Amino acid sequence: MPCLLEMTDIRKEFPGVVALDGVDFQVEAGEVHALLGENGAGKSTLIKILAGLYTPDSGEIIFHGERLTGMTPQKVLARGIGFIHQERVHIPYFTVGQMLFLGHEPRKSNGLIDWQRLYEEADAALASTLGAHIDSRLPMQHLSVSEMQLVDITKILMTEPSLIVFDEPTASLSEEEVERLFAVIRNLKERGVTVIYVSHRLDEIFKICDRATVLKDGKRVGTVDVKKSSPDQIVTMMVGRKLEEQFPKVETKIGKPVLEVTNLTRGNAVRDVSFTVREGEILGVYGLVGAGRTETMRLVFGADPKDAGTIRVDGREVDIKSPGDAVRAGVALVPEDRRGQGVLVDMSVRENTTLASLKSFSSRGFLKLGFEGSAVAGFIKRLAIRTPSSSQLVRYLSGGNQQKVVLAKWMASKARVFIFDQPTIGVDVGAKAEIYRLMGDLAAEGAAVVLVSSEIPEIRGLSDRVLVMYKGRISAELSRDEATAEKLLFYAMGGGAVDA
Amino acid sequence: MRKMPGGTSSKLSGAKSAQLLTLGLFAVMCVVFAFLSPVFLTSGNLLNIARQTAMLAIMCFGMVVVLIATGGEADMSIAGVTGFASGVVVTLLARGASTFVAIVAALAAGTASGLLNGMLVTKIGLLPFLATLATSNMAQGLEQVLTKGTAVAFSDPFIAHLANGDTLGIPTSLFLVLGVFLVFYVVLDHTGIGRRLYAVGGNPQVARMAGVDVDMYKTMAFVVAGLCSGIAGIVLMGRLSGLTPLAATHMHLDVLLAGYVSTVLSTVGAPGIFGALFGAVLVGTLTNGLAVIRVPTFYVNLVKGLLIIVVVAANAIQRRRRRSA
Repeated sequence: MPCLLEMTDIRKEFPGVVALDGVDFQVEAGEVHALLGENGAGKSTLIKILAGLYTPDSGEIIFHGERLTGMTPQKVLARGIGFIHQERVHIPYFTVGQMLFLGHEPRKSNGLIDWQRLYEEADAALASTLGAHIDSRLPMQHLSVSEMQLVDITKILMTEPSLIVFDEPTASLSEEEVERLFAVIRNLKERGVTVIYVSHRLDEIFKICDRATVLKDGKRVGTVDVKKSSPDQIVTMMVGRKLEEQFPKVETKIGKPVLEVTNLTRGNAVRDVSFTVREGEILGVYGLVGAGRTETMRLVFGADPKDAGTIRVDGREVDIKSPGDAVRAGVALVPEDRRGQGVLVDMSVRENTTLASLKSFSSRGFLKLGFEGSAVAGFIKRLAIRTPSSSQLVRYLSGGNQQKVVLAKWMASKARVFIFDQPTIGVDVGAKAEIYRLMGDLAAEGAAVVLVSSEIPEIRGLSDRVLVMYKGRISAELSRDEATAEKLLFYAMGGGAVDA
Repeated sequence: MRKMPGGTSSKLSGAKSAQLLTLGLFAVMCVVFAFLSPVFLTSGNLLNIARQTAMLAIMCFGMVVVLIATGGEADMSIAGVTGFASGVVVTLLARGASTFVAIVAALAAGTASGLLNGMLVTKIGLLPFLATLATSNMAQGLEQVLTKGTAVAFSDPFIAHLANGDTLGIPTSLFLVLGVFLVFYVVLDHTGIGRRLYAVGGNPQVARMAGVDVDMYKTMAFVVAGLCSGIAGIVLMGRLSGLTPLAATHMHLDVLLAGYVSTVLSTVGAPGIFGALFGAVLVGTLTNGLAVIRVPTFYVNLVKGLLIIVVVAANAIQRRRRRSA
C-alpha cells in the first residue's frame, strides 16, 4: 500500500520537556490507524503538529507525496486533512445548517445568503454521513453530544478530505453512540477515507483499527498489525522497559480504616465506586485521563454534588455537601490544578497556609498574629519551603514550593485524610522527591493518604495498594506486589473488559 | 521590555512607584490649589473638606469591601442606596417618627439593598455590575416615591450635630469616620472573616476548596456596603437639613473614583482600608479644590471621568505586569 502520510524524525521541545524526540509515523491510504500511548507520551503533540497548531523543531511531513511546511490549521484543512477534536466548538444558537456552512454560505446573485439552498445542501450533506438523521434547521444546542459529533464529521466531509483524525472521539459517548460512531468510521473507510484514531481504549482499537502505532516518552516504540497483535502485546509496548525511579517507600503500620467510601455515584463519570483507606496507608488510584479519578475525589471532598453514596471518616458517617463540610470532617484535597484551585497566588505564604484553619489561630474572632506567624515559620522549616519570608506572595514561588504551601495548609488544618490529585505535575525532580517524602511522613504519622496519579512509577513506588479506574468504575484492586506496570495499564485501558 | 532577572523586587517596586506617584499627584494637586486660591489652605476650608469627605469616606469603605470580596468588581449602587436611605430617614422624621426609629429604618433600608445585591450576584449569578446598577436605579426610584420627587426640609438636632456639628472643636462626622474606619481595620486585618474576604476575592475556587463559604462572604460584602450607604444616607440628610432630589446620585462618580484609587495604592491589587480613606480624602480634596478655584461643574465631571480612566488603566497595567511574572 502506498503511504498517504509520512511524518519523519519529528522533534518538538517545550521549555523543560522534549515532547517528541525524533518520531516517525506512517499512515497508509485507506487504513484506520490507531495512535496509542500513555498520558504524556506525545500523541497530542504529534496530532497538533499535523494540524498546524504547533511547528515542529525539526522533521518532515509528506502528505500525498508533497512536503508540508509552514502549515496553519486553514492550510492543513485545504490540503484535505480533517480533525474531529475532543472539545467541540459550536455556536449554540446557530442551526445545524448555519454551522455546516459557517464562512462559506451559498449566495444568491444579489449577494445575500440563499437560505433555501443552504438548508437543502445541508440536508444532503447530512444524509451522506451515515446515521446523521438530523434536521438541519435545529439549533446546535438541541443536539446530543453524539449528534454534534456527527455534524462535525459532516462538516469535515464537506471539505472532501482524504484523511480524518479522530482525537479520543468516544470520551463522552454512551456505548450505543460509540457503536454508531464505529459504523460511521467503517463507512468512511469503504469510501476510501483514511482515518487516524487516537484513543485510550483497547477494546475500541481491536474493533475498528487496522494498524496501531505506539508512542512512549516522545519516541515511537513500534507499529503493529492489530489483527496479528494482542492487548497484552500492545500494553507491553506502551509500558516499555524503563529504569524504575527510586522511591523512598517508608514501611508504616497500617491501622484501622479512616476513610470509607461506599457506592459513590455521579452520572456516568463516577459509577458505584467503593473503597477504604486505613491509618498509615497510601492508596494509589491509577487510570488514564477521563477515567473518573479526579471526579471521584471531588465527590469525596464535596466539590461536586453526588447522586448517591456514603462517606465515613473514622467510622462515623459524614454528610459532605461542600468542601467546607469535608474540611471539618478532616478530609483534605490537594487539587490537580494548583494555581486555579490550590493556592491564592496574590496572597502570602502565611495567608495561604492558615486559610483552612483560621479558627484555630483565632481567639474570640481575633487572629493571634504572633501565634500564626510562628506556626507558619514552623511549616516553612518543616516542609523546607524555599521562600525569602512568610510574607512572600505565592505567585513568586516555584511549582514545587507552591505545592508544599498547599500541603502546609492541610497539615495546619490537622486533616486525617489527604487526597493528592496528580501532586507532582509541573514540579521539578528535586521537589518531587521531597513531596514523596512528605507523603510518606504523613502516612507514618497515621494519616490516610490517597494518591491519584497517571505516572506508573509514582503509583508503584509509593502505594501500599492500588485501585485502577476505567470509565468511571474501579476496574481492579491490586496489592503492591501485584501492581506491575503491565497490569496497571491493562486494567486502565479496559483490558479486563476485552478478555471477558 | 524584558524584566531584569530577580524580577520579584522590580515588580514590587513597580507597585510602590505607582503608590508614590499617586501620593505625589495628591501633593502637587494641593500645591496647585493653594497657589491658585488663597482660601484653599485656610482652616475653615480644611474643616469644610473634612465634613464634605466624611460621607464619601464611609461610602468608600463599603465600596472597598465589595472590591476586596469580588476581586475588583465595583458596587454601582452605593450612591443610589445612600439617597434611598436618606429618603427613608427624612420621610419618617417629617411624619413624626423618633430619631432612633428613623435611623434604624435607614440602616435597614441600606442593609436590605445590599442583601438584594448579594443574592442577585451569588444565588442568581448576575454580574455584580448589572445587579448593582439595577439595584441603584430601584433605590433611586424608591427615594423619589418617598419624597414625591421634591425637596424635603427637616432638621433633626441629633443628626444635624452628627453631620455638621463639632465635638471638642473637631467635626463630629470625623469621629464617626474614625469609628467606622477602626471597625473595618480590625475586621479586615485582624480577624479570620477579613482573611476569608480577601481569599474569596483573590480566587473564589481556591477559597471554596479550602472550605470557605464563598457565597456567604460575597453576600456579606454587599450587605456591609449597603449598611455603609445607610450610614452615609443619614449623614447626607443631616448635611442638607432635609433632602434635595437625587442629591446622593451626584456622588456616584466620586465613590467609584475613590474606590479605584484605593486599588492602585495596594501592592497586590486588592485594596485595603487605608487606601479607601486616602482615596476618599483625595477625591474630597479634588472636589473642594476645583470649587474654590472656580472650575465650572461640567469641567469637574470631565476631570473626574478622565481620572477614573487613568486610575483603572494604571490598575490594569499593574495587574498585567504581575501576571507576566
